[in-house]
Amino acid sequence: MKLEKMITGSRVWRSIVRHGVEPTNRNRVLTVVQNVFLHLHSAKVRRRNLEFSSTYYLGAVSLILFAILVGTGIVLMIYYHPSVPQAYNDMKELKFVVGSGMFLRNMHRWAAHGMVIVVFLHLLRVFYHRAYKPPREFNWVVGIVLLLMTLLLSYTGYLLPWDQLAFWAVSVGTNMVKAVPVLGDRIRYLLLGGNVVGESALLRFYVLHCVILPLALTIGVGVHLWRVRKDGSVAGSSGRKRG
Amino acid sequence: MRNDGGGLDRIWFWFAAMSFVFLVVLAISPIKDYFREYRKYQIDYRDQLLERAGTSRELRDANREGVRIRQIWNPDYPNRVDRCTSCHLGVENPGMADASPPLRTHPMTPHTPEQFASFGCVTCHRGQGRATTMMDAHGLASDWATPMLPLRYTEASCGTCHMDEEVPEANLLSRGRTLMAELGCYACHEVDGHEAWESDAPDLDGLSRKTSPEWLRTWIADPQSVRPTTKMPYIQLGQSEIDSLVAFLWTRPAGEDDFLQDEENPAGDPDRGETLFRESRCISCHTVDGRGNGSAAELSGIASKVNRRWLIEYLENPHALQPETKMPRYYFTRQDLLDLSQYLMDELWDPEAPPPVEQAFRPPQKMVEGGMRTFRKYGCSGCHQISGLTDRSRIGPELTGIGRKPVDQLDFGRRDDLPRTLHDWIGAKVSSPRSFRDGLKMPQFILEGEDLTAVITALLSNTGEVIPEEYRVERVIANYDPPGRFGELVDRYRCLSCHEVEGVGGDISTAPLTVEGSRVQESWLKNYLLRPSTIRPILTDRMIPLRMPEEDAAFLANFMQNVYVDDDIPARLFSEEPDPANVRRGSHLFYERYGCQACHMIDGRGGYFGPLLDEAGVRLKPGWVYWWVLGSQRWRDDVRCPDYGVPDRDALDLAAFISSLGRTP
Repeated sequence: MKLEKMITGSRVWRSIVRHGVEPTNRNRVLTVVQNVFLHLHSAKVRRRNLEFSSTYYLGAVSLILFAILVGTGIVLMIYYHPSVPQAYNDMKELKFVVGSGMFLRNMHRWAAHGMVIVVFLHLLRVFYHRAYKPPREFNWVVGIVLLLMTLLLSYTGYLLPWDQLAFWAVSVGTNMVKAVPVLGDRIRYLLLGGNVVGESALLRFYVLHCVILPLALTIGVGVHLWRVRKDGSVAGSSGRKRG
Repeated sequence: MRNDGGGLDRIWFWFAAMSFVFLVVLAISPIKDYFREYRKYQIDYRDQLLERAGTSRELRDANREGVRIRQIWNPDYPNRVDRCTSCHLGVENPGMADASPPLRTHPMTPHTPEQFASFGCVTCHRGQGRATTMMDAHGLASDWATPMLPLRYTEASCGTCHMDEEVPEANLLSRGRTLMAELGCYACHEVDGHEAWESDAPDLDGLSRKTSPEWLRTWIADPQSVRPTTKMPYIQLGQSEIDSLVAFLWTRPAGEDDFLQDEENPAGDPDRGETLFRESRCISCHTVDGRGNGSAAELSGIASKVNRRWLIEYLENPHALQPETKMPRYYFTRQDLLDLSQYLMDELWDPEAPPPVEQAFRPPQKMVEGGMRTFRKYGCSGCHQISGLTDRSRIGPELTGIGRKPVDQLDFGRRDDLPRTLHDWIGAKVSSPRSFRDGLKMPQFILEGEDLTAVITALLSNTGEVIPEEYRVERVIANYDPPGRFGELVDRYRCLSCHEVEGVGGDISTAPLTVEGSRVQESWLKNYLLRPSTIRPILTDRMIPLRMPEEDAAFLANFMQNVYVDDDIPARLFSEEPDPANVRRGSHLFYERYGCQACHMIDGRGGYFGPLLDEAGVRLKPGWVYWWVLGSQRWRDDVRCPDYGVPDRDALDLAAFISSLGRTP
């Protein structure tokens, strides 16, 4: 009983299971209204959280970059085959044949680099503004998860051109995974779909890069933004009292 | 900090400005697309086509030429796409022969422009087929490992599909591949498809019976200075290595020092020996002071190399001392051997050779062991067999795939002077192998000019690529082993050293024996084997008189008469003696219509380029003459007898005339 209380009483528990199972109408409404998946619009938005200067900074820039990445990425998928050696040939096709192909590729590439940088700056800003403190500690954790996903997207995308740089970067990266105690080799096997960086690794990275991670990131961004509206953004915590 | 009105205006201004900048940026890419590099060539091409158009249809076709990417796509040939024709537009258009590149017609090659569509451009020229800009397509961009081959090496690409040693119409490649086999590259380097290569360098057992340590020393130090035509390279050994190597060779098997004291062979008659030397036509294979056929060893200086006792033994039966030699076994009498050897020893000595030391050479055991190590270290056993060293391991790196090795994987060592290209690297490796760093073992071959280019070409042709089956022209390894007694005789007389049968054998004789039975008459052949007569006066390398017994000659002639036959060649052309009128008409055709006497001699009149026809009626079968006249190049591509397109009736009459020559009615 004591242990149960310790768990249910902890902050982590309370930030995830916020309402309990109390069968009152109020509780039911709260449960719905305070859940991003059940109620996309925040039930209450503070006026200042909607102000231009409070909203459109690093977080928004990374969101725009993400939108650019999704847009260019979908177009790039039209030209790309995740197979050996066609993947590299497709890079050449983009360069030499596809109209504005290099522009597309470069947009995608630079937006990806930009997103990593901007997301990092976003994190720094939140950190130095102590915006990870309550009531935004849950959003801080969501943000960290989003940063990880951004990095993973960047890394999985790196393999797709299937050039020497890609091959060796992923060889090195997945060898680093091997250093994980006990499970290292298995995780590496799971990632690569084999023991070497080959066609199945390419396919796995492709699916991760184009389907699983972007979907997860989209959902994560939804939660993140919803919490921003609900809890207030970084700017809202710059040491000033709430108005 | 709330936004006041002014702040918002500022933001809207920047928003507008950025939108405009963004629009401009977006416009750059389509504009670059529109003005691609090939655009100006394609417009130029269309203008030239319009200029050259002779018919309204050509005009219409020319007008239809727009700016677009042109490509040769071949899904069967590892999904190859070549877009070279986006700029090289006139490649398949014979009307553009006088245009300037890149619009010019492709020069004539053994493959027609129509065939280009089946294998593209990159297969032969290398570079990057998918690219549509010059720098990238020519493979000059840093991300492309196989830049275009310089034109002088293009034949290397013939060799990616044509695996044979002799590739028709690729003379440089064929020469390079032949040189590689002759020089013994495969002795040290493993190359796919050449595992069965056999050296024709002599076995080194029993050198102490044959030569002197002094001669051996001079030879090993620099073989080419002793005999410039030798295939043995300059190994660049130090003096102590040479001494120990001589010691090692001298003791395989241990020396017989009394061999020089030759008491059983009395002096012979050198004058008779000289006559024998001429009669036996030794220079059909050997050279003396560079004169002769050159397929066997130079004989000047032989007296300084070998001793007389060995020479007599060798002339008596070469196969006992060198089982793999190409030299036939003559039927020399004992007196013949004494006289011939006397002549060779008296006449053919080298004044520059060191005089043999009379006392016996007994090297210390340590030196012998050192010599064995040297022998191993330099891979001598790759070419020479010697008892006690059976492993013929190759000491050099494998060369399969060398022709496509990326430049960044090559070790240039000290050679900062070399351009960073594969062909320059190969060229330097082949022509001065030791210049890259210290401690390399590859010997110095004499390869210059055309020969060097040929070897580079042959090496570049070894790409190790997997070519689809239907494109490969496999290497045909001819295999012919004559059976039974015939085989024994062919071996004894080493017929295949000069003659070719079914693709096997030497190329010294102009007459492959494959259809000899359809060609000549048995009685003549038997006599010819016994006493060869001159057929082609222009040649120095004529048939040698082997002094064979009549029984052997009769058997060989009979066997060939019955076995070396081609059914396409009529065996009996005339059922009875041809009508003298036909003979007369044939004679007229011979002299007047076709002018055969320009090359052929009859009764001392006519040219001497072709075979004498004095005895043609006794020598040749009429069916052969008929078949020959109807298209001599069917026999061999390089036959120089012109193909006049002789009608059948003329061919019959010519055969009637020629088969009447030399026959007493």
